[in-house]
Amino acid sequence: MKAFFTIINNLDRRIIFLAMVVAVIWPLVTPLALPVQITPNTQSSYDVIEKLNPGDRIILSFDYDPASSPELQPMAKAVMTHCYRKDVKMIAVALWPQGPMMAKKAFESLAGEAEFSGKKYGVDFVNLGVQPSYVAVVKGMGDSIPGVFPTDFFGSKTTDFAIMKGIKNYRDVAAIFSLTTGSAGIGTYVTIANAQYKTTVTGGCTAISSLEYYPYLQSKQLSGLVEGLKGASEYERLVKKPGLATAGMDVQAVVHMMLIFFILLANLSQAIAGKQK
Amino acid sequence: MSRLKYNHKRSNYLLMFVLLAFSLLFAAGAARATGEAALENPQTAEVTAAAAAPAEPDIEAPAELKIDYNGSPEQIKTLCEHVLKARALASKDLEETEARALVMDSLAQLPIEKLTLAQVYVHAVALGEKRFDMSHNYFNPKRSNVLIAGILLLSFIGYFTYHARQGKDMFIRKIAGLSAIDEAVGRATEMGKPVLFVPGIYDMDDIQTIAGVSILGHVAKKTAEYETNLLVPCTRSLVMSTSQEVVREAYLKAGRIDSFKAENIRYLTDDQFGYVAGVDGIMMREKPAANFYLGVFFAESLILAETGHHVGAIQIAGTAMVHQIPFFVAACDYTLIGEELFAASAYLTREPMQLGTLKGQDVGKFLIIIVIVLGIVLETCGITFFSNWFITH
Amino acid sequence: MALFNGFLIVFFIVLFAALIFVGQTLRTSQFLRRKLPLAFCFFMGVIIIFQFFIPPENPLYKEIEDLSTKWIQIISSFALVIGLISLVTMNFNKISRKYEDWQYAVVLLLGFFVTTFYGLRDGFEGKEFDFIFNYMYVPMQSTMFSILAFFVASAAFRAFRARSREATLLLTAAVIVMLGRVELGSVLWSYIPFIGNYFDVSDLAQWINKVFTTAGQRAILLGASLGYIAASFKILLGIERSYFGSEE
Repeated sequence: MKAFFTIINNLDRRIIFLAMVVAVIWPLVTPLALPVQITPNTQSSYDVIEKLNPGDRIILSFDYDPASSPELQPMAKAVMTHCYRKDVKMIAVALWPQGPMMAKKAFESLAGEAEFSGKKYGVDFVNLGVQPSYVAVVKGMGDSIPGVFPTDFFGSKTTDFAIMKGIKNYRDVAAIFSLTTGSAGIGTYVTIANAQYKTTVTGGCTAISSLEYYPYLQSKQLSGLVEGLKGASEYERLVKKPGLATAGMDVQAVVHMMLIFFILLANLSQAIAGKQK
Repeated sequence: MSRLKYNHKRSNYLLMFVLLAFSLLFAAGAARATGEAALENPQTAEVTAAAAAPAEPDIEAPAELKIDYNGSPEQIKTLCEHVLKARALASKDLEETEARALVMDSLAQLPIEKLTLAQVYVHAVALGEKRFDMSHNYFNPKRSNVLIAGILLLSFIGYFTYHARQGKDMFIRKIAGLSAIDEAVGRATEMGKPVLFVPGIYDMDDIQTIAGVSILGHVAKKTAEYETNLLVPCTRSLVMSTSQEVVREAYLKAGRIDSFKAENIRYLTDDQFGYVAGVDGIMMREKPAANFYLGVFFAESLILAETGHHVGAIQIAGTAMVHQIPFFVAACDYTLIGEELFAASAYLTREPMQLGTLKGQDVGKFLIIIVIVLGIVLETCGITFFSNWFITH
Repeated sequence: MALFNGFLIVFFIVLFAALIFVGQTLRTSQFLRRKLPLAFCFFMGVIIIFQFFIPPENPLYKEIEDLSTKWIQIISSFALVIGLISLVTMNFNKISRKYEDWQYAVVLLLGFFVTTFYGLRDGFEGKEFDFIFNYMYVPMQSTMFSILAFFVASAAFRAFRARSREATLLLTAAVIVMLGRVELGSVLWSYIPFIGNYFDVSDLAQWINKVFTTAGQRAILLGASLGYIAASFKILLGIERSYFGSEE
């Protein structure tokens, strides 16, 4: 018995990696269909958009890159679905260089769905691209959005789009939804667009960075927060369109259980066989 | 020697003060130029003012305010909310009491008959624009709290720096991570393997990167003494240039400039994960015996630290990125948490001036603790002016 | 304003030109290598601090902001060139001298030139550029990020051991938060006698995050922010000079 735990104690990490692969693939092949409970933070974020009127315009900020897309792309799609259904128009901007490409991908993938075949670029959605120096960009939009983004991502004049008619600055948008992975994003919008221009700011972020925004939630400067893959799956449930996040949550559940199992096993083996070599 | 050093520093300060005076002069000159430009066109200025005051063409009331005023508190509250959000007043960062004062003054100034909310709104916003016009001011009174706090902190630092220069002994607690630097480099030398230094993924404009590069100077001095290979992959070209300079200088001082290899301090890519892949590759190929991760880190922290652990390196990390500290703590041998990274330079050089700033910083921290406790007590008693004063606008 | 702007531009151009020409001939000059950069740093720092205290309506505020943003962009563009020169020459050398694993350098340079070519030729709308982004860049980035999942597992296995009282607390908190983040955790938690029906594990996890973690993070942040301020002060006044390589 002790010999067994000695082996466990010095387990090759490749065995843990292998277990991880199984834990990831298995729930994808046979979905567990676990229930999804809506947390208050996701609900508040959903309510911000739910309360908007048809024709209202929001800024959807794509502040992430492909690396965080497994968490944030399903979230972006769920939020866009919600906006399309409510006929809320979306002005996509980005504070990260790769953000506009992520916006383009999300728009293209939804455009392929029959439900949204009537939605047009420039009318229901516009991708204004990215500008360097994110603090200056967020500050500048308080003055003039077309001033900061004179052309869209593809080079057309911003003011020519139907969606941009009458848009000057934050005063003319109903809310800001930022999808954030690093330092540029929710924090920047809260400290500038909300604190100085009183614009409603909400958003979603990767699970790891969610704790950073709790103080803003407590001070009500941030209206709701969709946290990581779990938040994305909740949002998918709220818009009644299960997608990649819901499937991903099954994976996350199994992986967390496996991690807990390994942690307990490690502690047990340490208690029986002594300290790791 | 010490006298010579003192003079040299004083000349430095002199130069700085000349530059400060220079910059202030120019700011004042520029301000006068703006003022003169405005004076040169008094007619235009008057015309704009005349056009803005009675007709207020650029202030447009929101559609929901186009209703008659009936004097109810709800209407006043709605008005205040809209005034706070008004585009023309957005940059003024008004408080609720100020908005309310604007609305009440407008109501007092306007004839009460057949008054609509929109009229009150337009008047209040125009009044606000005039009342809170600070376009000719050079100091924002709403930021006086930051100024006072800043001056206080700087005076603590100044006081202790002065005392340190007088030769007063300053105690600094042991920081295990920093004391282990020599041991780590020594181990790499014994094993005949290189030392890897990762200065984070941000540019030189971040203080954490500067703190990291400062430690690099110390590490480079050791590797130069022991003649051990030092690898510094960088994600920003400015960090690369600075690191090359710092390492070159350290090798020069150690009298080993011939062992300095500029190509070991290289730029990989600005892309976060491309950089991680590159550094991981270097680790797997070169198998360093000591890894340093000092600077700004995001998701790559654990990927680097785990690969480093896999190749058997002794690892010292340091960052002020709160959500990455747990990963470093879990995977590295030593971790400098937050402020310890900034204290590194003082700790390693033991320069009295640097130690003085550290002491001043500690007193500042003590003051913050007192303020927090006082704030909690006052807020619990329902006294809010104290905590309100600390709100940054 | 134009005067201010114009002056600063001329000031910087003259300074950079002087730095390049004189710097080459007098590389060892203490003034050029130490005092001038320090004075420069102090000058810019004071301007930025000054700007912080100007009301935003004052035209000078926007002037300084625009100007500093533009200069940062210009300097970063030049910095990128320095980086690219280093990258390309280093890898060319590797190939021409047939260093170990030189084949990877070929792949790197090929990737660099091909992407740059299509990016410059077609912009973001090009089919080839789109292909490189969607089917090469995105999967490669995702791969690197995904490795994190494996490393979290191996690090957790190694690090989360009840070696001391603090480590045990850390371990317990980690397990609760992990359980609370997934629905399966709540289901399993409900089977625990007594406490299982009393409260939900996700609430407990949320509470740990909201109270303990946030409190701890704030403490670290406060300390780090003070460190930031003190370090900035040291850099501005030239007390901290080790990043010039002039320590001790």
